[in-house]
Amino acid sequence: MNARGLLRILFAGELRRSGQLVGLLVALTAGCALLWAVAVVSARIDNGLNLHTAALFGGDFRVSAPRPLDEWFDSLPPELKPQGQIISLPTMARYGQAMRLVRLKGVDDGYPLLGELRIEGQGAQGSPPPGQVWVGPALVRQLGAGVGESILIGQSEFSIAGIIEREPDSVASGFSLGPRVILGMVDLAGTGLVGFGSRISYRASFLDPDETRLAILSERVPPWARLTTAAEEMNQTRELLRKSGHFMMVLVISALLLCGVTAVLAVQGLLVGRLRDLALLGLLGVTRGSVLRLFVALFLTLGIAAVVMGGLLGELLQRGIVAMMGEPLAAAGFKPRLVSLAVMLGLLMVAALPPLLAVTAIPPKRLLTGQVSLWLSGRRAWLIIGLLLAGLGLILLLADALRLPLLLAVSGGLAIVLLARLQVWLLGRLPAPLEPRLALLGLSRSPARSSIALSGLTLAVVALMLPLLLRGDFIDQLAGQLPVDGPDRYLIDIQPDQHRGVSEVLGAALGSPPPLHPVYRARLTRVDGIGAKRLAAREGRAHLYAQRENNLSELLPGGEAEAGELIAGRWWGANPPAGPEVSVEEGWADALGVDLGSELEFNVAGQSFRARVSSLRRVNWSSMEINFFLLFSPGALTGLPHTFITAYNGGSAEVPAFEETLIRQFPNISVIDVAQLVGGLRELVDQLARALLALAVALPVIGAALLWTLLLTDRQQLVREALLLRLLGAADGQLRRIYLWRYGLLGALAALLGGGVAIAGAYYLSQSLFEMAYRPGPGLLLGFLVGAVALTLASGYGTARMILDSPPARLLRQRPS
Amino acid sequence: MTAILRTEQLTKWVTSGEQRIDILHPLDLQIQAGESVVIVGPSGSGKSTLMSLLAGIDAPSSGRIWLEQQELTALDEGELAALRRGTISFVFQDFLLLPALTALENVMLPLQLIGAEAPREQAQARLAEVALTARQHHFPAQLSGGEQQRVAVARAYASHPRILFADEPTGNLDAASGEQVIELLFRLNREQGTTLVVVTHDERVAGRAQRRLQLDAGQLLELD
Repeated sequence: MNARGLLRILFAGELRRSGQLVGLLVALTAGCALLWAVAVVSARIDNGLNLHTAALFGGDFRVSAPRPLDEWFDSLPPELKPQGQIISLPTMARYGQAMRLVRLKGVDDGYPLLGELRIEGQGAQGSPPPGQVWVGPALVRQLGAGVGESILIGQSEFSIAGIIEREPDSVASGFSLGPRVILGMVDLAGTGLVGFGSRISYRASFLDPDETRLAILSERVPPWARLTTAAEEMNQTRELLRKSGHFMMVLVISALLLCGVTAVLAVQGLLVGRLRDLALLGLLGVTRGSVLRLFVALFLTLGIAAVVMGGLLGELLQRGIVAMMGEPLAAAGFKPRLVSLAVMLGLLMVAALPPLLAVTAIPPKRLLTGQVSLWLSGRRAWLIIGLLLAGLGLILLLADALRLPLLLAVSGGLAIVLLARLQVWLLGRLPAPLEPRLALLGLSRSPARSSIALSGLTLAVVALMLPLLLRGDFIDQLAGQLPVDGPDRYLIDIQPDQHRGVSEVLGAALGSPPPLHPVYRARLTRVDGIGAKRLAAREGRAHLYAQRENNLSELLPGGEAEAGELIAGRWWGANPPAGPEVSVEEGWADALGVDLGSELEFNVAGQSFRARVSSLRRVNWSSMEINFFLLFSPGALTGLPHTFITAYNGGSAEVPAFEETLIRQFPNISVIDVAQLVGGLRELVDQLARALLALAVALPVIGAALLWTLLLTDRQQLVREALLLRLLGAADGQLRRIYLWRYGLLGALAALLGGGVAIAGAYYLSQSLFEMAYRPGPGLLLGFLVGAVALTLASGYGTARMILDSPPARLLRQRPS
Repeated sequence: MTAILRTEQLTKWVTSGEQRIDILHPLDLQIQAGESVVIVGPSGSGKSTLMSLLAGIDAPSSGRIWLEQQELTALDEGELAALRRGTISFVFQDFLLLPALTALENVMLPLQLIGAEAPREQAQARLAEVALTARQHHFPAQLSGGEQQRVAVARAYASHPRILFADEPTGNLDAASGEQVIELLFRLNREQGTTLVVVTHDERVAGRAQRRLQLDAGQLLELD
């Protein structure tokens, strides 16, 4: 018979043993479904957050310029052309004798590119019809003009068609003045406002955050225009995106751990049940290569069947999780789906190959005893360990992002395996009554198998606990970043001689005046002797800081706490330093390679000066409090031209009454309303919290189901033992107690060990990745301990029931032949 | 002598698709206490099935079985297990020792299950009877086939059962080891008065029994 024919017969024989394969197939399918669901939901949350950020920004990236971009557009190939254009300028709107400074925005037919523009009483809309405008509610009140009435803008008269309820990209215009007026691009041309000398801002917005397209475009942007991306520009959402990305990474790693455990235990279970078959094949003269091919084909077949079924189940699961959140999420695309299927198949093969290589190298006589190790030994084991370590080292060297999770996973995994081994060794040496001793003997006399089972269960417990342990603190932290009564209005361009007057008005209105921070507009010229041009060429946000003006400020007395958390260096305290010193925000420092002791050189209105970096700070930008990337020591900037800025909470009133007084008294001061941005951020945090909660709750539920199927695959190993005990006359209660002890012990050990590792991991991740205090809730820990023991006990009880209900002759027929 | 085991119109059949396959035709049998009985017959004649039914580890398709005054066919699995404990023992062709337990622990197991006093000492005494004292702390995988079967015999007699069923006890052993095991089975049968029911192909075993039965195509015949 040829080798292929032999393999075909053996393969068909394997497939006929469907009873033994079902457990493996169920476990792999469940693992695949879990990975699929977590990967897709994570991708959907991530995409949703990016979309939300892009909607606030008005697109994935944009080119802004003070002059028309039409000629530049014409020079671009079709694939690089923008999807939307906006022209905005400050101008006056007139209604009768009343006049008001407004932010005029001309939009094209595709407006808004992302998000939803809502007009009061009219729902979602695009751009206004010709001859009509939509206006901000403040303008209606200030001018006294209502819907249907006409206002004069430039040389044209427009009918007010509606009042803006929600403008998705209101933040995109940055600091601008007055209530909003939106009109069609064609109408804007007719106003006569667009011409030489106008303070117009032209904006082209692009969708599709494709890095290649972005790179090509950035090379073609004219020098008088600026290319910025939503991810770079949105200080307020960048932190949210970074941290939620980390949290989802924890979820995905947890799912991967569960799937890895599934694959290893399922493969081990199947191979242990095939030892006699393997011995027989060896005795019949079937070569090792043929046996390897047979089992690789078997595992591949099972793997493919599992990923197909798991994919379908996973899709249902992820839809269920999203439905549980009660709100639509962005689409995820095919990538996470395909990756999760490929990873599951890869995990199965990685789990299968080492024990297959090991077991096919064992002589048949030893296989028949059943007392063999499915782990590689000798030189081959060292070779594989060496290759794995080399691969790991290479990944650690090349991939920054994977360094932390990999180190965590590997060190945690090793610790678990070693501790599991130690526990099993200790257990075998404990005196105990008959039932627990029989249960213990089963564990301790097969240390390799028991260690694998215990390590697997422990890893599973870690994977289930970690996201839940982190979730509460993480969501609290997110919510805490947006204070309920945080500032939503800013006053800018306050001149030094207006400082006292503004403080008095604000003090009278708000009880106590908010601090007024000096603002110095400066260009960075050098960092440690390196010129701004060279600095701008660095990757990331360096060009933003090196090319545009930076807002500098001085630390106000007692302002250390509000300035952020110091991560390096120290504050100046009561004694100002001898020379100018500066405290730098960590992201700004990272982008430009600045560290403690670096020397920064700036130019303010033609005057150059230098300062040494004395500290690095972490700033919570989403708090909306006024803060600065660069905060100088008191007195360091004395004598340089500056203005002041302040912020406060305007309360429930749309426009606080005292602002009218301020504007009348100090007409040069601008009021900026960021209530919409704060509202948008709050929505974002709420959405993120709901999504993470749904995912963090779904993971343990699915994981528990997965563990259950894994425990079922262990049953076949117990049948022989149970059969014998039954034949020897073991009473129902005795058998039940033996299995309850066995599974209870396994569950308790796994819960204790896994709980310990999960707490250590959660503590480490909280400190290093999420920068938050970690507070483990005793209720959750106790709940997990009870849950893990209950789950394993239930499985043990199920096993005992199965055996108790069957006559021993049936079990005799099931024993390995 | 009183009957320890009795059957009445005992049958066993299985179905394969639409087809019914009769393994045992209605049979009536009595085995006396302390008797040694051998059941012989060609492969597939239903010997092991009959043994499983007599031992109460499988359920008949019809008919009744009594062990002493207790009707086995009226008991559920839990009650059968309780009845087996200390009353019925087994020796199988493939030994069926627990691989995680030493030879001594395997023999101690039935004693501990019935809550016997000094199980260790009793088990050591049984192992001494089968000449395995020196191997008492070895695991099954470290013993030869003959030694494993001797451990199984020691375990079977450890709880002083009323009846012992042996299914092809020499089937996996060489001639010398098989001889040792036969000798043990029948010696302990004599010494302890345990009823012995052996299913075998082995002529040496058949020759040692007080009574020989032949099962052929589901029909039971008394030889001699």
